[in-house]
Amino acid sequence: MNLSETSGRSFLGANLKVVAGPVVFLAVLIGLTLIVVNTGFKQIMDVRKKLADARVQETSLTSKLDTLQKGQSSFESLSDLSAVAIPEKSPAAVVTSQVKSLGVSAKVVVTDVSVTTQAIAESALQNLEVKVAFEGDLIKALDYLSSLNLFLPLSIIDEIALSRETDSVSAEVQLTAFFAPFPTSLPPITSAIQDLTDEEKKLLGSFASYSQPTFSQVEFVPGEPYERTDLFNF
Amino acid sequence: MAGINLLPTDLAPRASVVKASGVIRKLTTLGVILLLLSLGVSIGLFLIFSNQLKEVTARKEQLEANIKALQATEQRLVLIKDRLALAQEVFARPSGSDEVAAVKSLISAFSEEVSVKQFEIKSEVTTVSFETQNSLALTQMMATVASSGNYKQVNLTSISFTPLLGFSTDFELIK
Repeated sequence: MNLSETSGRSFLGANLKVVAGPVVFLAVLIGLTLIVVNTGFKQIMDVRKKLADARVQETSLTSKLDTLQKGQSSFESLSDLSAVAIPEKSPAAVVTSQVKSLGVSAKVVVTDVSVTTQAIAESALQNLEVKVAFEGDLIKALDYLSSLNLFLPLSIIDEIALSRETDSVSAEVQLTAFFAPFPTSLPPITSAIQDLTDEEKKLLGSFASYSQPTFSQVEFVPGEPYERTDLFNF
Repeated sequence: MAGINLLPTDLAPRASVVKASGVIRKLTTLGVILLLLSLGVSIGLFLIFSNQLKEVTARKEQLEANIKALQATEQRLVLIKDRLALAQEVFARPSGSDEVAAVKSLISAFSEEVSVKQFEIKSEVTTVSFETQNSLALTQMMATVASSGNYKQVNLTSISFTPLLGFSTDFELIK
C-alpha cells in the first residue's frame, strides 16, 4: 500500500516537472501580452487621436489664415462701414445731422429734431428715439419721408403724422436709430472663422447705397499689442 | 548505442504529457516571437505617430503665429459679423417705410382734383383723409384706393360733403 502511494506521487511529480516549466512560461507570456496590449495599444491610440485632432486644427487654422489674408484689405473699409451702420455709442449728433442734411436735399424745412435714448434690457441693441418735425411741399415731404429710412446709422420709421396747411404740409416723424457696444473679445485662436457669406456681402453692399454721414463719431482703430480677451475695449 | 533507462517505467512521465509539454513549449516560443514582433511594430508606430504629431504641432504653432500677426484683420471681421447680426435684427423690426411708399404710390395715382388733407402711419395701420371737389373724382379716388393692392384691408371710416370744401373722406388702410 505504501509502495503504491509512493509510486503514485513520483509519477505525478514527473508529469508535473515536464509540464510546469512550459505552462509557467506560457502564463508569463500571456501576462506580458496583456500588459503590452493594454498599455501599448492605448498609447498608440492616444497619440493617433492627438495627431488626428492636430490635423483637423491645422486645416482649420490654414483656412482661417487664408480667409484673413484674402480679406485683409477689404475688411478695413467694410468694418468702418458696418460700424457706421450701427455705431458703438449713441449716434444722436450724427442722426440729427443726417435728418437735417436730408431735409436740405429734399427741400423741406426741418423745424425741430429731438433725441432720447432708450435702453432695452433683452438686446445688445440700444434704441435712440428721434422726433423730427418738418414743413414743405407734399411731394417733397413724401420724398423726404422715403429718404428717412435710407441713411446711416440705420434707423426705422415708427410713426408719421402729416397734415396739410394752406400751401404746404407739416409733419412729425418718429424714428428709431440704433447703437450697440463693440464685441469685447475674440474667439479662441484655434477656433474656425467663417468668411463673409454672399448674404452678408449683399447687406454690406446695400449699406454703401445708403446716405453716409458727412462726419462720424465712430472710430475703430485696431492695433497691437492687445490681449485676446478684451480687444475692443479702447 | 541505445540509452538504457534503469528507472521503473511507472516513474517516467506519460507520453501524452511529454507530447503536451512539447506543444506548450512550441506555442510559447511562437508567442514570444509574435510578442516581440508586435512590440517592435507598436514601438515603430508609436514613434512614427509621435514624429508626425511633432511636425503637425510645429506647423500649427507657425500658423497660430501668422494668425496672431493678422489679429487686427480678425478683429475687423469679428466686428463686421457682429454689426451685420445686429443689422438683421433691425431689419426684422416693423418699419413705416413700406407704408410711406404705399401712400406715395396711392397719391401719385390720383387725379389733380384729389388732395391729401392728412395722413398718419402707426405700425401697419395708415389713416388718411382726402378731399375732392367733384363726385367723379371721388368715385375714381375710391376705386383707386380699393384696388391699390397694397393693403390687406381698406376701411372707409367717414365721408362728408360741404358746399365750400366738397367731399371729404377718411380711410383706414391696414397692411
